[in-house]
Amino acid sequence: GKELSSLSAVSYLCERAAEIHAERVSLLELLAETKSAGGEEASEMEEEIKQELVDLDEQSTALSHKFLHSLVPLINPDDLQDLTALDAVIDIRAGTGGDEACLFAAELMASYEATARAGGGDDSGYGAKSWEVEVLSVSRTDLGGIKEASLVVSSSKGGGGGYNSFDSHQQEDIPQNDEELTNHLLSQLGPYGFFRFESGVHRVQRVPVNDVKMQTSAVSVAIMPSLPDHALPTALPPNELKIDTMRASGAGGQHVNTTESAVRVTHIPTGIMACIQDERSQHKNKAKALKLVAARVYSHRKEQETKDRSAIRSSLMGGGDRSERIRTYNFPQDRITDHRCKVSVSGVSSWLSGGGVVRNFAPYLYMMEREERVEKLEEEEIVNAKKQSRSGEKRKGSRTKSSH
Amino acid sequence: SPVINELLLQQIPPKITVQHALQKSLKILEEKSIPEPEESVLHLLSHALNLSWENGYRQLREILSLSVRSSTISENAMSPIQQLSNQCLSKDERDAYISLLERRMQHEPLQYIIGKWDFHFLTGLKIKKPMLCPRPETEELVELVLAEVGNLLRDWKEKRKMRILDVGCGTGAIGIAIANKYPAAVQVVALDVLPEAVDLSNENAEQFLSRYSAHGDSKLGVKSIYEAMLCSATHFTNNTTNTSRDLSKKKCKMNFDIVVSNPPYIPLKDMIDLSSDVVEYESYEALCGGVDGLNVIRDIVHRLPEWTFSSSSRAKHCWMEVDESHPRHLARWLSPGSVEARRCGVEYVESYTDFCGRDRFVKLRVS
Repeated sequence: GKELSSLSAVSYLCERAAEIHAERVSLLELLAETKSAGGEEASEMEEEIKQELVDLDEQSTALSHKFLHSLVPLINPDDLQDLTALDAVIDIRAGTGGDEACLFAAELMASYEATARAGGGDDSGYGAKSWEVEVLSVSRTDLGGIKEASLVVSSSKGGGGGYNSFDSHQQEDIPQNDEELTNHLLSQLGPYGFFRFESGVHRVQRVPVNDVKMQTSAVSVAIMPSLPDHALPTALPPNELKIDTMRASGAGGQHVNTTESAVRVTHIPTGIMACIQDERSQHKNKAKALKLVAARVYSHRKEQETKDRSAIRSSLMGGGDRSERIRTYNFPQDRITDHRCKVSVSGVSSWLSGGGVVRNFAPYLYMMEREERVEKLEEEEIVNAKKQSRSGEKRKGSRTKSSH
Repeated sequence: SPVINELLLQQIPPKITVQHALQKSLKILEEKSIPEPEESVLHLLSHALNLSWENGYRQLREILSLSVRSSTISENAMSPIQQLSNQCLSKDERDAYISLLERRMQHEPLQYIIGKWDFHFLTGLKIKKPMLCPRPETEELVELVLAEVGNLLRDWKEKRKMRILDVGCGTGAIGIAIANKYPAAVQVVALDVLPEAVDLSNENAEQFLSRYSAHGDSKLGVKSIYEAMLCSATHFTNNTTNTSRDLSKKKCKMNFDIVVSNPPYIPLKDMIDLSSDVVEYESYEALCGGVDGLNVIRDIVHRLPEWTFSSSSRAKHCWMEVDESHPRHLARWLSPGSVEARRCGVEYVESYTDFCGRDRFVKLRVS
């Protein structure tokens, strides 16, 4: 179904391209005739035809863009498995701004929780999947803010998009417009794919309670893929881990009865660690800590790989730079601006409380990321073409030589 | 003790807020050197206030770390945590909390005072004295056995369910945690010498496993998944010359595929070092394994071949949680190919460490 729809999109575009080409040919013929006819009427006609040709060129450019986009999928095929199937671990940390930053961190967390519980759907419930949210740890402040928190958003279908019937019906049609394209994209994404572009620094500008001066604060968000349980032993070999518990001293076992069940897991090679204490069962605390550490280690390694590979300019491919300032929430101006795709929406409070922020910006970012891939492909094409022409010249040259 | 009661009544007056109750009672427990004072006040107050099992104590933990500043915020602007923090205890709640604190100040284990606790993925396992409160190490024993069950199930050709024997079941924790993961595939038989343990195990089984039973009469259904019986290791035999009044009337099929046990294993000399919450409240029989701690373990080893008798050539394993001193003794005693190993029909395979790096678990094979 999916393949058929993308093929029919391409064949439709081919037909359009052929139509445009045919029209161009007939217009050029007309132009030639008009030129040879001469006279005032003819020169007016000429102008009209030239204008039509310009319009046609614009259509042709737009078409070749569409071509490229239909051939280059919105979801990077290298990441397809991760983006559609994996659950998400979300780390939120208040940055500069003290209490204000902590308060905003709490609002952002509530917004993500609302979005996740609504399954990534919009207010009407369209596109909603069955997702669960689990708070792994949270550190709160006196005023109801959070210093940091970690959550897991999981698809109860064991990781994956989880279509509702409306979406699967949509699959067979060609996305006719941007909205359908967006819905199609969102319906494919799993929790990690859905939240991934939230990684980065979110800046908030507002006047704090009990104050008159506006303040700028920052909150860091990191979105990491949550590895499924069966993948954990491979991703985190036991000999790379240090596990600390409260029962370290004394004889342990039947000798001691304790209820303190905190577990700290440290990944020795990277130093990355997590400490969980909120379950009565030590086993459950350990399972949560392992999940967190696995996600953080995986994400850390991917970041290193991307840094080593990609060019100097900041890139959305591979998720972007976590320390980059990605979005500003300006309360006095009542505006949220994403600095990457340069898109703004108004109504900060309703976007945050309704939880629609993620769903709104994600499609733009996916399109931007695809643009990067398209540019990369075009660059590669140019490089290849140069290589070919050089080797072609060489061959010509040697042929010429040998013919002498 | 009237002195303790007086102190509590004075320090925790009527209409006290949740936050102050936590702070005051924590100070008292710390001054009296009660172990795990913070855990104690969090869980006991949550119990007295009848807060949610999952979140109550977590909310109270956050409240304990809040500073006094929060009380200056207006009521409407308060978060749920702040509201709870400022909530006043009713007379009944205050009285209930004080009685719970009194028990804790006598070093009674928290799990006994509250009557339940979490173990592995069992939420709210009933716990009653004198049965042993399940330890976190035992969760690892469950994981080891679950791994073997998973492996066996992949090539399982028998028409019957996999049969597992849990020796010395106590609260039923081990057997029930295993059955909870594979209710359709395993049948657990559990033994204990205390009638209260047998009753408690069956009660817990009813709570956690009746949801999986297919029969209309849930009790009948649960028995196909888990059944606890009053019997010692030695007396669990169909050999009539050894029968005593301990053995259940009905004969039990002795074709177990896996035997698991957390037997009493503390050597006699270590019993004196145990803290008062353990030695004064938990069952002596569930803790002490004799002079070297191996008494019950020896009983189990001697019965293993009979318990796992079957025509199948599949290896039958016994998994046990033991004292740190035991793995090397067992490795020597039941060294593969040795005279003793051949006489007993049981070989030592290997040992595993717990999360503290102590030799804690052994795996034996019936040869």
